[in-house]
Amino acid sequence: MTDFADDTEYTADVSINHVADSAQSVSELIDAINAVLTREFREVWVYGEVGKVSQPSSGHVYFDLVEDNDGEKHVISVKLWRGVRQRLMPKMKQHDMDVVSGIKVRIRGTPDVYGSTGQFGFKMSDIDPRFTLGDLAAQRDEIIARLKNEGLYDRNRRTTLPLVPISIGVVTSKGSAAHADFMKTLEESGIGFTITLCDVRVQGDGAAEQVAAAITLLDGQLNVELVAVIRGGGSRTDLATFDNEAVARAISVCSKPVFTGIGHDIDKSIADEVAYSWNKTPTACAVAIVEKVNDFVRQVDTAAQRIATVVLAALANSERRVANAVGRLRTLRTTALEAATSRIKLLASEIAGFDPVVLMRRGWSITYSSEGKVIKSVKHAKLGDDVTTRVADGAIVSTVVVTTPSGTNE
Amino acid sequence: MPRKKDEANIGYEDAVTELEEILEALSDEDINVDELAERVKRATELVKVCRDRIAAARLEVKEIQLPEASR
Repeated sequence: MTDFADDTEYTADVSINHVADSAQSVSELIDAINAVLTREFREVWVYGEVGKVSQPSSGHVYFDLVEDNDGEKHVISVKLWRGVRQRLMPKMKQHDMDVVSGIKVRIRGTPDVYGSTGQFGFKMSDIDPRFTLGDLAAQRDEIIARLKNEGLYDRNRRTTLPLVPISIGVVTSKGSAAHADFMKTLEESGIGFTITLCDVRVQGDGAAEQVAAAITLLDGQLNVELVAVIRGGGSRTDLATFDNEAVARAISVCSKPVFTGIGHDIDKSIADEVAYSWNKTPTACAVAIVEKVNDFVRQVDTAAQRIATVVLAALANSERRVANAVGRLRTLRTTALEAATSRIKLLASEIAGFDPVVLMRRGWSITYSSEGKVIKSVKHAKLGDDVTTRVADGAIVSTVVVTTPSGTNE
Repeated sequence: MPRKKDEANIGYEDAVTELEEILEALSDEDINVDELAERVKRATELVKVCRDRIAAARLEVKEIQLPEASR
Protein backbone atom coordinates (compact mmCIF):
# COMPACT_ATOMS: atom_id res chain seq x y z
CA MET A 1 0.00 0.00 0.00
CA THR A 2 1.24 3.42 -0.85
CA ASP A 3 0.53 6.81 0.60
CA PHE A 4 -1.36 7.66 -2.56
CA ALA A 5 -3.85 4.84 -2.02
CA ASP A 6 -4.99 6.33 1.25
CA ASP A 7 -5.14 9.90 0.00
CA THR A 8 -8.88 10.70 -0.45
CA GLU A 9 -8.02 14.14 -1.96
CA TYR A 10 -6.03 12.49 -4.67
CA THR A 11 -6.70 13.37 -8.26
CA ALA A 12 -4.55 12.25 -11.17
CA ASP A 13 -3.82 15.76 -12.52
CA VAL A 14 -2.75 17.23 -9.22
CA SER A 15 -0.59 14.22 -8.42
CA ILE A 16 1.26 14.19 -11.78
CA ASN A 17 1.92 17.90 -11.60
CA HIS A 18 3.13 17.51 -8.06
CA VAL A 19 5.51 14.67 -8.98
CA ALA A 20 6.73 16.44 -12.09
CA ASP A 21 7.50 19.55 -10.11
CA SER A 22 9.74 17.70 -7.65
CA ALA A 23 11.33 15.13 -10.05
CA GLN A 24 13.47 14.83 -13.16
CA SER A 25 12.87 12.72 -16.18
CA VAL A 26 15.12 9.68 -16.70
CA SER A 27 17.11 11.43 -19.36
CA GLU A 28 17.47 14.52 -17.21
CA LEU A 29 18.78 12.41 -14.37
CA ILE A 30 21.17 10.56 -16.62
CA ASP A 31 22.35 13.84 -18.10
CA ALA A 32 22.80 15.24 -14.60
CA ILE A 33 24.76 12.19 -13.46
CA ASN A 34 26.92 12.30 -16.57
CA ALA A 35 27.54 16.02 -16.00
CA VAL A 36 28.81 15.23 -12.51
CA LEU A 37 30.89 12.32 -13.76
CA THR A 38 32.40 14.44 -16.49
CA ARG A 39 33.18 17.25 -14.08
CA GLU A 40 34.69 14.97 -11.46
CA PHE A 41 36.24 12.21 -13.59
CA ARG A 42 36.95 13.71 -17.00
CA GLU A 43 39.72 11.87 -18.81
CA VAL A 44 41.00 9.75 -15.94
CA TRP A 45 43.45 6.90 -16.34
CA VAL A 46 42.43 3.46 -15.11
CA TYR A 47 44.19 0.12 -15.32
CA GLY A 48 43.09 -3.50 -15.13
CA GLU A 49 42.99 -6.74 -17.04
CA VAL A 50 40.92 -7.10 -20.18
CA GLY A 51 38.17 -9.65 -19.60
CA LYS A 52 35.51 -10.61 -22.07
CA VAL A 53 35.82 -8.77 -25.38
CA SER A 54 33.08 -8.39 -27.97
CA GLN A 55 33.49 -6.78 -31.31
CA PRO A 56 30.21 -6.55 -33.23
CA SER A 57 30.08 -5.67 -36.89
CA SER A 58 29.42 -2.03 -36.00
CA GLY A 59 33.17 -1.65 -35.48
CA HIS A 60 32.78 -0.60 -31.84
CA VAL A 61 34.58 -2.74 -29.28
CA TYR A 62 33.15 -3.56 -25.85
CA PHE A 63 35.20 -5.16 -23.15
CA ASP A 64 35.29 -5.72 -19.42
CA LEU A 65 38.11 -4.13 -17.48
CA VAL A 66 38.68 -6.34 -14.47
CA GLU A 67 40.50 -6.03 -11.17
CA ASP A 68 40.78 -9.37 -9.45
CA ASN A 69 41.76 -9.21 -5.80
CA ASP A 70 42.24 -12.85 -4.91
CA GLY A 71 38.93 -13.85 -6.41
CA GLU A 72 37.05 -10.69 -5.44
CA LYS A 73 36.33 -9.15 -8.81
CA HIS A 74 35.62 -5.55 -9.70
CA VAL A 75 34.47 -4.91 -13.21
CA ILE A 76 33.74 -1.92 -15.35
CA SER A 77 32.34 -2.09 -18.91
CA VAL A 78 34.46 -0.23 -21.40
CA LYS A 79 33.22 1.15 -24.69
CA LEU A 80 35.74 1.78 -27.41
CA TRP A 81 33.85 3.56 -30.13
CA ARG A 82 34.77 2.85 -33.71
CA GLY A 83 36.07 6.37 -34.34
CA VAL A 84 38.29 6.31 -31.27
CA ARG A 85 39.55 2.85 -32.16
CA GLN A 86 40.48 4.03 -35.64
CA ARG A 87 42.33 6.98 -34.12
CA LEU A 88 44.22 4.71 -31.68
CA MET A 89 44.93 1.96 -34.20
CA PRO A 90 48.23 3.40 -35.57
CA LYS A 91 49.58 3.73 -32.04
CA MET A 92 48.59 0.18 -31.11
CA LYS A 93 49.96 -1.20 -34.36
CA GLN A 94 53.23 0.59 -33.81
CA HIS A 95 53.59 -1.29 -30.55
CA ASP A 96 52.27 -4.52 -32.05
CA MET A 97 49.36 -4.78 -29.65
CA ASP A 98 45.60 -5.03 -29.68
CA VAL A 99 42.90 -5.17 -27.04
CA VAL A 100 42.54 -8.89 -26.36
CA SER A 101 41.39 -10.91 -23.42
CA GLY A 102 43.97 -11.57 -20.72
CA ILE A 103 46.27 -8.60 -21.23
CA LYS A 104 46.73 -5.75 -18.79
CA VAL A 105 45.88 -2.28 -20.07
CA ARG A 106 46.09 1.30 -18.85
CA ILE A 107 43.38 3.32 -20.55
CA ARG A 108 42.08 6.86 -20.39
CA GLY A 109 38.45 7.95 -20.62
CA THR A 110 35.39 9.19 -18.81
CA PRO A 111 32.88 7.13 -16.84
CA ASP A 112 29.28 7.54 -17.87
CA VAL A 113 25.81 6.09 -17.76
CA TYR A 114 24.62 5.02 -21.17
CA GLY A 115 21.13 6.37 -21.75
CA SER A 116 19.76 3.56 -23.88
CA THR A 117 20.58 0.82 -21.38
CA GLY A 118 21.13 2.64 -18.13
CA GLN A 119 24.38 0.81 -17.85
CA PHE A 120 27.28 2.39 -16.09
CA GLY A 121 30.45 2.21 -18.08
CA PHE A 122 33.61 3.85 -19.26
CA LYS A 123 34.10 5.62 -22.56
CA MET A 124 37.65 4.97 -23.60
CA SER A 125 39.59 7.71 -25.37
CA ASP A 126 43.23 6.64 -25.16
CA ILE A 127 45.56 3.76 -24.27
CA ASP A 128 49.12 3.47 -22.94
CA PRO A 129 50.76 0.61 -24.91
CA ARG A 130 53.96 0.76 -22.82
CA PHE A 131 51.99 -0.34 -19.79
CA THR A 132 50.71 -3.45 -21.57
CA LEU A 133 54.05 -4.31 -23.12
CA GLY A 134 55.88 -3.67 -19.89
CA ASP A 135 53.48 -5.94 -18.07
CA LEU A 136 53.85 -8.65 -20.75
CA ALA A 137 57.63 -8.40 -20.51
CA ALA A 138 57.57 -8.52 -16.73
CA GLN A 139 55.21 -11.53 -16.78
CA ARG A 140 57.38 -13.21 -19.32
CA ASP A 141 60.52 -12.69 -17.24
CA GLU A 142 58.76 -14.05 -14.17
CA ILE A 143 57.56 -17.18 -15.99
CA ILE A 144 60.99 -17.85 -17.48
CA ALA A 145 62.62 -17.40 -14.08
CA ARG A 146 60.15 -19.85 -12.51
CA LEU A 147 60.74 -22.43 -15.26
CA LYS A 148 64.50 -22.11 -14.84
CA ASN A 149 64.22 -22.54 -11.08
CA GLU A 150 62.24 -25.71 -11.55
CA GLY A 151 64.66 -27.07 -14.14
CA LEU A 152 61.97 -26.96 -16.82
CA TYR A 153 63.43 -24.25 -19.03
CA ASP A 154 65.51 -26.51 -21.26
CA ARG A 155 63.96 -29.83 -20.39
CA ASN A 156 62.29 -30.30 -23.79
CA ARG A 157 65.58 -29.58 -25.53
CA ARG A 158 67.06 -32.55 -23.68
CA THR A 159 64.57 -34.97 -25.25
CA THR A 160 65.85 -37.13 -28.08
CA LEU A 161 64.85 -36.28 -31.61
CA PRO A 162 64.22 -39.48 -33.57
CA LEU A 163 66.55 -40.09 -36.50
CA VAL A 164 63.54 -40.04 -38.81
CA PRO A 165 60.67 -38.04 -37.28
CA ILE A 166 57.88 -39.17 -39.54
CA SER A 167 54.90 -39.33 -37.14
CA ILE A 168 54.00 -35.77 -36.27
CA GLY A 169 51.45 -34.49 -33.74
CA VAL A 170 50.11 -31.07 -34.77
CA VAL A 171 48.51 -28.51 -32.46
CA THR A 172 46.81 -25.80 -34.48
CA SER A 173 43.56 -24.19 -35.48
CA LYS A 174 42.25 -26.57 -38.13
CA GLY A 175 41.67 -24.88 -41.49
CA SER A 176 43.75 -21.79 -40.66
CA ALA A 177 46.28 -20.39 -43.13
CA ALA A 178 49.00 -21.53 -40.71
CA HIS A 179 47.67 -25.09 -40.81
CA ALA A 180 47.48 -25.00 -44.63
CA ASP A 181 51.04 -23.64 -44.99
CA PHE A 182 52.42 -26.29 -42.67
CA MET A 183 50.65 -29.17 -44.44
CA LYS A 184 51.57 -27.88 -47.90
CA THR A 185 55.28 -28.05 -47.11
CA LEU A 186 54.99 -31.55 -45.65
CA GLU A 187 52.99 -32.78 -48.66
CA GLU A 188 55.38 -31.28 -51.18
CA SER A 189 58.32 -33.06 -49.52
CA GLY A 190 57.04 -36.39 -50.86
CA ILE A 191 57.80 -37.96 -47.49
CA GLY A 192 55.17 -40.31 -46.09
CA PHE A 193 54.46 -38.41 -42.87
CA THR A 194 51.72 -39.55 -40.50
CA ILE A 195 49.94 -36.54 -39.02
CA THR A 196 47.85 -36.60 -35.87
CA LEU A 197 45.99 -33.29 -35.73
CA CYS A 198 44.47 -31.75 -32.63
CA ASP A 199 42.28 -28.77 -33.42
CA VAL A 200 42.46 -25.95 -30.86
CA ARG A 201 41.60 -22.31 -30.43
CA VAL A 202 44.88 -20.38 -30.65
CA GLN A 203 43.67 -17.00 -29.39
CA GLY A 204 41.06 -15.59 -27.08
CA ASP A 205 39.38 -17.12 -24.05
CA GLY A 206 40.57 -20.60 -23.14
CA ALA A 207 43.09 -20.76 -25.98
CA ALA A 208 46.11 -21.32 -23.72
CA GLU A 209 44.36 -24.09 -21.80
CA GLN A 210 43.40 -25.82 -25.08
CA VAL A 211 46.90 -25.57 -26.53
CA ALA A 212 48.43 -26.93 -23.32
CA ALA A 213 45.89 -29.79 -23.16
CA ALA A 214 46.51 -30.66 -26.83
CA ILE A 215 50.28 -30.86 -26.32
CA THR A 216 49.77 -33.19 -23.36
CA LEU A 217 47.22 -35.28 -25.30
CA LEU A 218 49.58 -35.71 -28.26
CA ASP A 219 52.48 -36.52 -25.92
CA GLY A 220 50.44 -39.51 -24.76
CA GLN A 221 49.91 -40.86 -28.29
CA LEU A 222 52.19 -43.83 -28.97
CA ASN A 223 52.53 -43.10 -32.68
CA VAL A 224 53.56 -39.46 -32.23
CA GLU A 225 57.33 -38.83 -32.34
CA LEU A 226 57.36 -35.04 -32.48
CA VAL A 227 54.81 -32.35 -31.58
CA ALA A 228 54.47 -29.24 -33.77
CA VAL A 229 52.71 -26.16 -32.37
CA ILE A 230 51.53 -23.99 -35.24
CA ARG A 231 49.97 -20.52 -35.35
CA GLY A 232 49.79 -17.86 -38.04
CA GLY A 233 50.93 -14.28 -37.64
CA GLY A 234 49.28 -11.88 -35.22
CA SER A 235 50.02 -8.98 -32.94
CA ARG A 236 52.12 -9.49 -29.85
CA THR A 237 49.04 -9.38 -27.68
CA ASP A 238 47.20 -11.78 -30.02
CA LEU A 239 49.96 -14.26 -29.42
CA ALA A 240 49.64 -13.99 -25.64
CA THR A 241 48.54 -17.65 -25.69
CA PHE A 242 52.12 -18.64 -26.43
CA ASP A 243 53.47 -16.55 -23.57
CA ASN A 244 51.15 -18.39 -21.23
CA GLU A 245 52.72 -20.35 -18.41
CA ALA A 246 50.48 -23.40 -18.82
CA VAL A 247 51.53 -23.70 -22.48
CA ALA A 248 55.20 -23.28 -21.56
CA ARG A 249 54.92 -25.96 -18.89
CA ALA A 250 53.13 -28.39 -21.23
CA ILE A 251 55.95 -27.96 -23.76
CA SER A 252 58.69 -28.29 -21.12
CA VAL A 253 57.43 -31.55 -19.70
CA CYS A 254 56.45 -33.06 -23.07
CA SER A 255 58.50 -36.25 -23.48
CA LYS A 256 58.72 -35.70 -27.23
CA PRO A 257 60.56 -32.86 -28.96
CA VAL A 258 58.29 -29.85 -29.56
CA PHE A 259 58.80 -27.75 -32.69
CA THR A 260 57.09 -24.34 -32.77
CA GLY A 261 56.02 -22.39 -35.83
CA ILE A 262 54.36 -19.35 -34.34
CA GLY A 263 54.19 -16.62 -36.91
CA HIS A 264 55.85 -13.58 -35.42
CA ASP A 265 59.39 -12.54 -35.88
CA ILE A 266 59.72 -9.66 -33.45
CA ASP A 267 60.15 -11.67 -30.28
CA LYS A 268 60.42 -15.24 -29.23
CA SER A 269 57.37 -16.29 -27.25
CA ILE A 270 57.91 -18.28 -24.08
CA ALA A 271 56.68 -21.33 -26.01
CA ASP A 272 59.54 -20.71 -28.45
CA GLU A 273 61.99 -20.27 -25.57
CA VAL A 274 61.30 -23.69 -24.11
CA ALA A 275 60.69 -25.63 -27.35
CA TYR A 276 63.17 -28.15 -28.77
CA SER A 277 63.21 -26.17 -32.01
CA TRP A 278 61.63 -22.79 -32.65
CA ASN A 279 60.83 -21.53 -36.11
CA LYS A 280 59.51 -18.19 -37.21
CA THR A 281 56.64 -19.44 -39.33
CA PRO A 282 54.55 -22.59 -39.78
CA THR A 283 56.27 -23.15 -43.13
CA ALA A 284 59.72 -22.86 -41.53
CA CYS A 285 58.62 -25.37 -38.88
CA ALA A 286 57.57 -27.88 -41.57
CA VAL A 287 60.84 -27.28 -43.45
CA ALA A 288 62.83 -28.04 -40.27
CA ILE A 289 61.03 -31.39 -39.88
CA VAL A 290 61.40 -32.28 -43.58
CA GLU A 291 65.12 -31.39 -43.38
CA LYS A 292 65.60 -33.73 -40.45
CA VAL A 293 64.15 -36.64 -42.47
CA ASN A 294 66.14 -35.60 -45.55
CA ASP A 295 69.30 -35.56 -43.40
CA PHE A 296 68.72 -39.26 -42.80
CA VAL A 297 68.06 -39.94 -46.50
CA ARG A 298 71.31 -38.14 -47.30
CA GLN A 299 73.13 -40.14 -44.63
CA VAL A 300 71.90 -43.39 -46.21
CA ASP A 301 72.78 -42.15 -49.71
CA THR A 302 76.25 -41.17 -48.54
CA ALA A 303 76.74 -44.62 -47.01
CA ALA A 304 75.58 -46.19 -50.29
CA GLN A 305 78.02 -44.02 -52.26
CA ARG A 306 80.86 -44.80 -49.88
CA ILE A 307 80.07 -48.50 -50.20
CA ALA A 308 80.14 -48.20 -54.00
CA THR A 309 83.50 -46.41 -53.79
CA VAL A 310 84.92 -49.00 -51.42
CA VAL A 311 83.69 -51.86 -53.62
CA LEU A 312 85.24 -50.32 -56.72
CA ALA A 313 88.47 -49.79 -54.82
CA ALA A 314 88.37 -53.39 -53.55
CA LEU A 315 87.82 -54.69 -57.11
CA ALA A 316 90.62 -52.49 -58.43
CA ASN A 317 92.81 -53.79 -55.64
CA SER A 318 92.01 -57.40 -56.59
CA GLU A 319 92.86 -56.70 -60.21
CA ARG A 320 96.11 -55.16 -59.12
CA ARG A 321 96.95 -58.24 -57.07
CA VAL A 322 96.24 -60.52 -60.02
CA ALA A 323 98.44 -58.36 -62.24
CA ASN A 324 101.19 -58.45 -59.63
CA ALA A 325 101.00 -62.24 -59.42
CA VAL A 326 101.29 -62.54 -63.18
CA GLY A 327 104.26 -60.20 -63.16
CA ARG A 328 105.93 -62.18 -60.41
CA LEU A 329 105.37 -65.43 -62.33
CA ARG A 330 107.04 -63.94 -65.38
CA THR A 331 110.00 -62.79 -63.33
CA LEU A 332 110.26 -66.19 -61.65
CA ARG A 333 110.25 -67.95 -65.03
CA THR A 334 113.07 -65.78 -66.34
CA THR A 335 115.12 -66.32 -63.23
CA ALA A 336 114.62 -70.07 -63.41
CA LEU A 337 115.74 -70.12 -67.02
CA GLU A 338 118.81 -68.15 -66.24
CA ALA A 339 119.65 -70.45 -63.37
CA ALA A 340 119.17 -73.50 -65.53
CA THR A 341 121.29 -72.03 -68.28
CA SER A 342 124.18 -71.28 -66.03
CA ARG A 343 123.88 -74.71 -64.46
CA ILE A 344 124.04 -76.24 -67.88
CA LYS A 345 127.05 -74.13 -68.75
CA LEU A 346 128.72 -75.27 -65.59
CA LEU A 347 127.89 -78.85 -66.35
CA ALA A 348 129.14 -78.41 -69.89
CA SER A 349 132.39 -77.02 -68.66
CA GLU A 350 132.70 -79.86 -66.20
CA ILE A 351 131.90 -82.35 -68.91
CA ALA A 352 134.44 -80.69 -71.18
CA GLY A 353 137.07 -81.62 -68.60
CA PHE A 354 136.50 -85.24 -69.52
CA ASP A 355 136.90 -84.80 -73.32
CA PRO A 356 139.68 -87.27 -74.45
CA VAL A 357 141.00 -84.74 -76.93
CA VAL A 358 141.62 -82.31 -74.12
CA LEU A 359 143.18 -85.04 -72.01
CA MET A 360 145.43 -86.14 -74.92
CA ARG A 361 146.73 -82.61 -75.28
CA ARG A 362 147.96 -82.95 -71.74
CA GLY A 363 149.84 -86.14 -72.73
CA TRP A 364 147.27 -88.78 -72.09
CA SER A 365 146.70 -91.33 -74.89
CA ILE A 366 144.39 -94.24 -75.66
CA THR A 367 145.67 -97.55 -77.04
CA TYR A 368 143.45 -99.83 -79.13
CA SER A 369 144.10 -103.50 -79.92
CA SER A 370 144.28 -104.64 -83.49
CA GLU A 371 140.64 -105.56 -82.99
CA GLY A 372 139.86 -101.92 -82.19
CA LYS A 373 139.18 -102.43 -78.50
CA VAL A 374 140.51 -100.03 -75.92
CA ILE A 375 143.31 -101.67 -73.95
CA LYS A 376 142.54 -100.89 -70.32
CA SER A 377 144.65 -103.71 -68.81
CA VAL A 378 147.95 -105.52 -69.53
CA LYS A 379 145.76 -108.58 -69.79
CA HIS A 380 144.15 -107.17 -72.95
CA ALA A 381 147.52 -106.75 -74.67
CA LYS A 382 148.54 -109.85 -76.60
CA LEU A 383 152.20 -110.32 -77.32
CA GLY A 384 152.94 -109.63 -81.01
CA ASP A 385 149.70 -107.74 -81.54
CA ASP A 386 149.94 -104.52 -83.49
CA VAL A 387 148.32 -101.97 -81.27
CA THR A 388 147.38 -98.42 -82.24
CA THR A 389 148.01 -95.57 -79.77
CA ARG A 390 146.02 -92.43 -80.37
CA VAL A 391 147.55 -89.15 -79.28
CA ALA A 392 146.22 -85.62 -79.71
CA ASP A 393 147.56 -85.11 -83.22
CA GLY A 394 147.60 -88.64 -84.65
CA ALA A 395 148.23 -92.34 -84.06
CA ILE A 396 151.28 -94.54 -83.43
CA VAL A 397 151.26 -98.23 -84.32
CA SER A 398 153.49 -100.50 -82.15
CA THR A 399 153.98 -104.19 -81.61
CA VAL A 400 153.53 -105.67 -78.12
CA VAL A 401 156.86 -107.18 -77.08
CA VAL A 402 156.36 -107.57 -73.40
CA THR A 403 153.61 -106.89 -70.83
CA THR A 404 154.42 -106.07 -67.23
CA PRO A 405 151.55 -105.88 -64.71
CA SER A 406 151.92 -103.20 -62.06
CA GLY A 407 153.81 -104.23 -58.93
CA THR A 408 156.08 -106.73 -60.74
CA ASN A 409 159.79 -106.31 -61.55
CA GLU A 410 160.57 -105.62 -65.20
CA MET B 1 78.55 -61.96 -40.67
CA PRO B 2 76.20 -59.04 -41.07
CA ARG B 3 73.23 -58.94 -38.65
CA LYS B 4 70.20 -59.97 -40.56
CA LYS B 5 66.94 -58.49 -39.47
CA ASP B 6 63.48 -58.56 -40.81
CA GLU B 7 63.45 -55.67 -43.29
CA ALA B 8 59.85 -54.72 -42.47
CA ASN B 9 60.71 -54.10 -38.85
CA ILE B 10 64.28 -52.89 -38.91
CA GLY B 11 64.63 -49.49 -37.25
CA TYR B 12 66.30 -46.58 -38.99
CA GLU B 13 69.00 -46.49 -36.29
CA ASP B 14 69.72 -50.21 -36.79
CA ALA B 15 69.80 -49.80 -40.56
CA VAL B 16 72.37 -47.01 -40.38
CA THR B 17 74.47 -48.88 -37.82
CA GLU B 18 74.49 -51.94 -40.06
CA LEU B 19 75.42 -49.88 -43.10
CA GLU B 20 78.35 -48.42 -41.15
CA GLU B 21 79.43 -51.93 -40.14
CA ILE B 22 79.25 -53.13 -43.73
CA LEU B 23 81.26 -50.15 -44.83
CA GLU B 24 83.92 -50.91 -42.24
CA ALA B 25 84.05 -54.57 -43.28
CA LEU B 26 84.32 -53.61 -46.95
CA SER B 27 87.21 -51.30 -46.16
CA ASP B 28 89.18 -54.32 -44.95
CA GLU B 29 91.62 -55.16 -47.73
CA ASP B 30 91.55 -58.83 -46.93
CA ILE B 31 87.84 -59.26 -47.68
CA ASN B 32 87.28 -61.97 -50.27
CA VAL B 33 85.19 -61.42 -53.34
CA ASP B 34 82.36 -63.75 -52.26
CA GLU B 35 81.96 -61.93 -48.97
CA LEU B 36 82.23 -58.60 -50.74
CA ALA B 37 79.31 -59.53 -52.99
CA GLU B 38 77.18 -60.64 -50.06
CA ARG B 39 77.84 -57.48 -48.06
CA VAL B 40 77.09 -55.25 -51.00
CA LYS B 41 73.82 -57.09 -51.59
CA ARG B 42 72.83 -56.57 -47.95
CA ALA B 43 73.78 -52.88 -48.08
CA THR B 44 71.68 -52.39 -51.19
CA GLU B 45 68.69 -53.99 -49.45
CA LEU B 46 69.08 -51.74 -46.42
CA VAL B 47 69.31 -48.58 -48.50
CA LYS B 48 66.23 -49.61 -50.47
CA VAL B 49 64.21 -50.38 -47.32
CA CYS B 50 65.05 -46.99 -45.80
CA ARG B 51 64.31 -45.02 -48.94
CA ASP B 52 61.10 -46.90 -49.71
CA ARG B 53 59.70 -46.56 -46.26
CA ILE B 54 60.28 -42.80 -46.21
CA ALA B 55 59.24 -41.98 -49.74
CA ALA B 56 56.72 -44.58 -50.82
CA ALA B 57 54.00 -44.10 -48.22
CA ARG B 58 51.48 -41.35 -48.76
CA LEU B 59 51.00 -38.63 -46.18
CA GLU B 60 48.26 -39.67 -43.78
CA VAL B 61 46.20 -37.44 -41.51
CA LYS B 62 44.07 -38.42 -38.57
CA GLU B 63 42.42 -36.21 -36.02
CA ILE B 64 42.04 -36.51 -32.28
CA GLN B 65 39.75 -34.41 -30.11
CA LEU B 66 40.46 -32.72 -26.82
CA PRO B 67 38.31 -34.07 -24.00
CA GLU B 68 35.12 -32.04 -23.43
CA ALA B 69 36.51 -30.53 -20.24
CA SER B 70 39.35 -28.89 -22.16
CA ARG B 71 37.13 -27.35 -24.82
